[in-house]
Amino acid sequence: MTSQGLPAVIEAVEAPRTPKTVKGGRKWGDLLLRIAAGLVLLYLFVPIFVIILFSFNHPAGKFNYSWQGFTLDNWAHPFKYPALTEALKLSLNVAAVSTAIALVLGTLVAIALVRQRFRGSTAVDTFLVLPLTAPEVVMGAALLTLFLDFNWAAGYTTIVVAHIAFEISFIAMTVRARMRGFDWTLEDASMDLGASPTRTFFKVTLPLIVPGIVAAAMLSFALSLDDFIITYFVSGSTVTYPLYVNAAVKAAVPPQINVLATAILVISLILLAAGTLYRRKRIDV
Amino acid sequence: MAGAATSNRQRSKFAPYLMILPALAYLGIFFVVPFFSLARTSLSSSGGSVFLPTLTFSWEFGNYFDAFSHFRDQIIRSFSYALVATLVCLLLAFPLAYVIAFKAGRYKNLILGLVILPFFVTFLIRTIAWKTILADDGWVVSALNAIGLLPSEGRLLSTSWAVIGGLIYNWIIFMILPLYVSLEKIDPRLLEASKDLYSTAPRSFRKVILPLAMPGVLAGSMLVFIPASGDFINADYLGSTQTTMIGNVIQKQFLVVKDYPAAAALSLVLMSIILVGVLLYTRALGTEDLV
Amino acid sequence: MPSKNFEAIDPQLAARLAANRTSRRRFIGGGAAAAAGLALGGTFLAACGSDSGQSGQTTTPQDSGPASGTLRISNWPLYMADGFVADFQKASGITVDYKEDFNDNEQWFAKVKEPLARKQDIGADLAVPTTFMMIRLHQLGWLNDISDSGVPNKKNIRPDLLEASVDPGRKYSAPYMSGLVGLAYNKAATGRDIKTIDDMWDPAFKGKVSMFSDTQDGLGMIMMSQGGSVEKPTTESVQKAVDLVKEQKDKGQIRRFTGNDYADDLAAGNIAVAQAYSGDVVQLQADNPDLHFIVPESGGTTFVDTMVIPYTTQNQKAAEAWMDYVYDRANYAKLIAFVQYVPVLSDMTDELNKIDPDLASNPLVNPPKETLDKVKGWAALDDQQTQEFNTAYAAVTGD
Repeated sequence: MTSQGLPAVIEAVEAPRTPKTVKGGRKWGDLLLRIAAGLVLLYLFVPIFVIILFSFNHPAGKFNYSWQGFTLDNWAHPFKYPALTEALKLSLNVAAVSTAIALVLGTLVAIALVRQRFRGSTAVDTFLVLPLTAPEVVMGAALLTLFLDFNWAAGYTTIVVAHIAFEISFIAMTVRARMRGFDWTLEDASMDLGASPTRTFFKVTLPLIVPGIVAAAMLSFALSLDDFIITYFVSGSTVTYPLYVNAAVKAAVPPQINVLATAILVISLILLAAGTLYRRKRIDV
Repeated sequence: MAGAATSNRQRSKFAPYLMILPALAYLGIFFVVPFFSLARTSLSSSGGSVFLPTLTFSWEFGNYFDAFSHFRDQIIRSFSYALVATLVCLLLAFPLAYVIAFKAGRYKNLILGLVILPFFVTFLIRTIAWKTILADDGWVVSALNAIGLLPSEGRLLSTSWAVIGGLIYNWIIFMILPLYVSLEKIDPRLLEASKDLYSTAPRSFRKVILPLAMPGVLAGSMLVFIPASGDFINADYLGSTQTTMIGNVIQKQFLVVKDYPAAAALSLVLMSIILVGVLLYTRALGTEDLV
Repeated sequence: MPSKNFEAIDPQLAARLAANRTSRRRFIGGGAAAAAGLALGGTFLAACGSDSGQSGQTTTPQDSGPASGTLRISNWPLYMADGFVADFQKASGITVDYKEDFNDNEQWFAKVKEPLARKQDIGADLAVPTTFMMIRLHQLGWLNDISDSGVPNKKNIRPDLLEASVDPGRKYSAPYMSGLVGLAYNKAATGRDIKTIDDMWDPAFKGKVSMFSDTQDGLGMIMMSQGGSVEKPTTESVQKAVDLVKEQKDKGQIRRFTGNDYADDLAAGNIAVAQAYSGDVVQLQADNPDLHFIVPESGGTTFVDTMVIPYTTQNQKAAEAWMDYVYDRANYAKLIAFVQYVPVLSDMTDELNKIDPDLASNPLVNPPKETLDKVKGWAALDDQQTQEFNTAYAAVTGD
């Protein structure tokens, strides 16, 4: 039994997809739809414009609340508050690591739940919703007690561990949304053609659910970056970005916070744009 | 690929158990154990020192009754806010997710990235920015007042609408992304076919798109509604004395009043109500599974 | 954990100091706060006294030799002058791991009480809780004593603070910074000057008043306006204040209960009258001259943040060396120049004048006697009182 047909299946799955545009259609409805979408996108960015603007503000006091005047000083000294920069780096690190691990755990669960009904799948279903419902302040304290019982020092590890715990459910649900309606016969075809289940998984199943995984990763990353209360309890004296900002804001709001936030946005935007251009090139060639 | 073709292949009996094992084991330790201690606390009575109370487990169901009766207003309010926020998120997210999925072509990933970017700026900074925009004397509020859209209070901040607005803004990506991933896998030829079949766009939407997008709707609504009900930080910054949510109460009971059994009981009440709501919702939507 | 590495005094800051735009505070003269806290009955002192015997063991006993090693500090954010930590490191040879993770007393307590109860390290050799929290830590037996030999500069502390009833002789707490709790108002929003607590309840300000959610900071001035006393608080006087607040809240007079997060509302004019901390207003005034800070006519309260050494500390001597360094008047003046709260040391005028004469003449940094006579510090409360008062007030703020 050869696997001659298998490459064809894999190719079909990995082939660049034709752009999804809908032919014809009612022009007005289409236009309205695009305008609505554009407005929502604008809505998402309204505070961002303010944040970017205020990164150029020149307050005389420590609070960056009212517009005083334009200056490039803040951009000249973006790392003026080392604690802020360190906290940001730490949070990015924690978000990346915890997301990576939670992705594996959560995706596996999602696939298992969709692919076949097995005994206990409803129970697992329900169970996965629970972490989403638990209020952070009590869970944070309970987790801290747990870590203390294990004799773990509160710090980087405990933060990552705690983040993974609440990310799993988010990831599982997002990947699931992608997988409903998945054509499992593709897997059959692949295995009929001689591929091992593992190869099938990596070459056929996974590529098709990648958008779900990417979306889940993005959500999980954003969640981790923003988490305050649970992180507060389990962090010991380690300071993450939200912890720093929440604490600092009571005493001062240096424009450097805006500067760093804008910098992240700009860098991400550049990366995104580069990625898009690259894909265009690939398709054209 | 269209349709939900299920496999007839005899699958390994153990595969699913193996796949769920890592996540379950992980959550078993880092969620279930703390959760049990929470449940235990909720049924205890506290005594002894104020700051390091000894909790004696005594099947103190009274804690639950107290939670319900003292804080019924906040419970109802939290769920109302969360419900409104979820609905609005759905309404706003759908057009955007749809356009990205079907009309964005090669800019799909770029726009998706744009959508998530604002959420890499922390909550507090976004909220401060909104407070700047919606300040009582700012031009947004003044304009609205001139038109007469604002009720007697004449302000947007420190109202329930500000809190709901905060909930919407901060949780909307959890609606956009799941909607997008579930829309994106719909074959566009289906849409064309449905347009031929159904003469009007709304019908084609109701009969074809919506059912196919249902997994995304389900996931999105849960990922918004659940955290929003337990939220406290939006009410803290954007709310007034009349808009406290159950999350704020739990926070206060736990940190300031230090009534740990009460805080725990309230938490469990919150969790149970959400769970029941979610189960009913899923049943109503007609999908057998939650996740 | 990376240690904080401050640069030398920021040129921008130095420029601002020279620019005279920010108003500075004056060093508290002496009188009034001395009267504060004298009254507490012997019971409290006895209770405190018996507990202090319980000071725990340091994990690295250092009996001889100068202080060395690493010092981990947990302080409020932006409560430190640029370059101060670096200068200390140079002068003492001690490496400082400086963290700004102390953002709220009760939250911090909720986080550290489990480890401390188990005698586990909390990641800090020195922390800076507010007085009420310091009292609680002491009553739980979680603080080390501060030796007089380790901190000879202790004598520089203002006499009223040095002999305060909450810790006479400052055996286990070292004041760091103090401040006034009063009313801030936006004159453009109010149209007039605010002078009394009754002004807060002016119907013209409906929905534009904010109060502290912290029991002591929020109720203190209210109680004083009703004839009560924070030095001898009773259930009745507290409840009377709580009832008044509830009444105003139900009327819609109070917009929000805040922690430190009233500043942006005040700056934007969303709030016309806010309970505020003097240091915040100094900062806001720099950008908004319409903002004013007053101590209400019937009186206000003070807060004092104190340096303490938890009994799980790993470097007692270094912590004491830090305190000694802070208490040197020249060094402390640098702190005041940056933080702009009210100094805890006596006779700061000369040092402040050397850095910036405006500092010495700012009434919010160096309040005149009339102001000082009007402010009082809360007495040390025992567990029961704390619980009772907190619960009473939480019923109004958390509702």
